[in-house]
Amino acid sequence: MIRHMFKMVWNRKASNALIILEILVSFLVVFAVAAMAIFNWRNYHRPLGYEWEDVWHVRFRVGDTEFDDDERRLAANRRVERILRELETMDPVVQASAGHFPPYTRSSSSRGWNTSDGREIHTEIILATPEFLDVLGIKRVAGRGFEAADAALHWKPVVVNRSLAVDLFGAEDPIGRTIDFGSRDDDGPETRVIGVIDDYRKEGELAVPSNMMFEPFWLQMAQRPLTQLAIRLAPGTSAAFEEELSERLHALAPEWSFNVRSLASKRDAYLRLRLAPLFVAGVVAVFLILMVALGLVGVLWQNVTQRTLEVGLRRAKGATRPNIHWQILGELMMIASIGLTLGALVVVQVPMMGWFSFLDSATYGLAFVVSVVTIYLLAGACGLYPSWLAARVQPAEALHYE
Amino acid sequence: MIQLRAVEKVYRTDRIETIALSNVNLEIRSGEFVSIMGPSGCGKSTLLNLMGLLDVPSEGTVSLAGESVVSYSDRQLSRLRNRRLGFVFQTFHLIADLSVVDNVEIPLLYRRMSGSERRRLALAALERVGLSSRVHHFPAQLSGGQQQRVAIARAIVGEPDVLLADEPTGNLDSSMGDEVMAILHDLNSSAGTTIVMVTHDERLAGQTGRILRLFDGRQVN
Ligand SMILES: Nc1ncnc2c1ncn2[C@@H]1O[C@H](COP(=O)(O)OP(=O)(O)OP(=O)(O)O)[C@@H](O)[C@H]1O
Ligand SMILES: [Mg+2]
Repeated sequence: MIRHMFKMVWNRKASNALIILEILVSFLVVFAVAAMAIFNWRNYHRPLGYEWEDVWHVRFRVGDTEFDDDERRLAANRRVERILRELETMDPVVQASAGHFPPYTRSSSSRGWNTSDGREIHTEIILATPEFLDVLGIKRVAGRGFEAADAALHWKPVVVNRSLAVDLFGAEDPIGRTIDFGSRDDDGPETRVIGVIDDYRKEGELAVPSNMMFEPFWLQMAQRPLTQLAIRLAPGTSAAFEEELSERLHALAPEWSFNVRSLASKRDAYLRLRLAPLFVAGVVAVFLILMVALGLVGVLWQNVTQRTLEVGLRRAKGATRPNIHWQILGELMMIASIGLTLGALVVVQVPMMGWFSFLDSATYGLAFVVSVVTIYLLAGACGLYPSWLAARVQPAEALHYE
Repeated sequence: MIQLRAVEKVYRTDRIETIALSNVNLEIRSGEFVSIMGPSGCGKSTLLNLMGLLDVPSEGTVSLAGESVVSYSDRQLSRLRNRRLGFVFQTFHLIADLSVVDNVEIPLLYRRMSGSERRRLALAALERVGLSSRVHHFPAQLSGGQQQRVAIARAIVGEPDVLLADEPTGNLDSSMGDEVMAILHDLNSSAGTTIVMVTHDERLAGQTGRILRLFDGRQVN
């Protein structure tokens, strides 16, 4: 019977082409949705690497001329340092730091290079005062954080996240190792890893995983100043503290303007911003799949009506109602399998072309399984009614038609 | 072999009620070759469909081999159609998407049987109707007479006790019709298959053992 069904499907490939196309399209839609959903879901459940509760974010605006020369830069940095120390004297403030960039900010800076043995490395760079890691409760898994004494080192200490450590040194212990910047290693002191953190997913719960490298910022030097602060407050500090904080900041630097917000509220806004397009894409996908399903029911229905005579004949030759039912569904499953095979061919091409490279193979595989199962279920559901209709064909009546 | 007792068949549609058969009593004995004649619309096909268990009577009973089938389930009726009855139609009703031999195998699909056994029986049936050279053709590539011979092969492949043929020569010219008739006669005489055939052709009917005449849904003899 399986062979017979296969022959029917194969010999009717021209009239089945439309169904195969429908299956192919819906598979691709479901696959895309599943891949994005799984990707985001898995990201969402990945550890953030920091604690946003009770941390506040301050951004200040400074006139451009303040950064013109070393003297001004140094003055600005000294002022930031004074602000940080002053803030720490306030009752609810546990610790204050400056850094580029705190969580839930869209700015980033990154660096890419080729190592001497030709590996391509890419990482985001976070420039921050030593306290920044503690203020954000960034979990360290090996080595140490920055200390004031590090300013005197003749090499540059950095803290990296796990994924960068793996990219750089594989399974080997990264602590104390010098980072190989390849041919770009010309100027400046050598860079050594002093600590490894679990992660720092700056863009929040829906962030795409990336490499991270923390470099220390010394406020007593004439570097271009950091204009963003991260401040840890005692647990349960009320939102009313914002006003007190703003007033103090204004008093400390009257000609700068400040923007104060809790990371909690920044996080809310960020998630909303990130989830909105996903939600819209989901709704669009559901509608697409519904349309495809309706189309499928229509095509199958038409298909079954065209085959009334054949069904009548089979009934006359001894097919029972369940025989007809299963034949129609079985053929549909075979047609679905053809569509899915074509879909699979398309889907394996995608990573080969280098598209969607941010999707790891586990996500990709899971999305594939999910969409195959979904399509079989969808096809089965769409075929249920038409095959039921076919099984109810009365042989005498069906054979009456010419 | 087949017995009809006080059979009535009424077709009811929204507005009209057609009495296709009324008070039909008849018996077809094993090994008989019977033809059914009558003007168009008199109920010949209806009668044949009832004998072939493709339809159920509105009143009365249809019995096969001495047993009434009125209370049979779909499964039991399907089994009887499959094992004991063969059907041949005026318009052949071959499945265009299947080759000749695949068409002939259809009744055997609904039996427990290996694929190779099925193929063997189908080829033997095609041999009997003289179509061994056309097994991998598709119906559209055959003449009308050849198509009807495929349909006969399909009807006899399961070695039924009864062959029911509804105007099997109706769409064929007389020489092709004679070929088909020759096959039916051969089946009747050599295999002892009971045959009931509807025809408009007095000449062909004259070659059969008995003629049943219908007029307006009633038997006339
Ligand atoms: N499915 C049906 N619904 C309603 N009426 C029907 C149906 N099938 C047959 N009839 C009616 O029953 C009567 C007998 O039809 P039937 O097909 O048995 O005639 P027939 O003797 O085979 O005619 P022909 O020689 O033209 O094939 C006709 O009046 C026909 O219109
Ligand atoms: Mg008729």
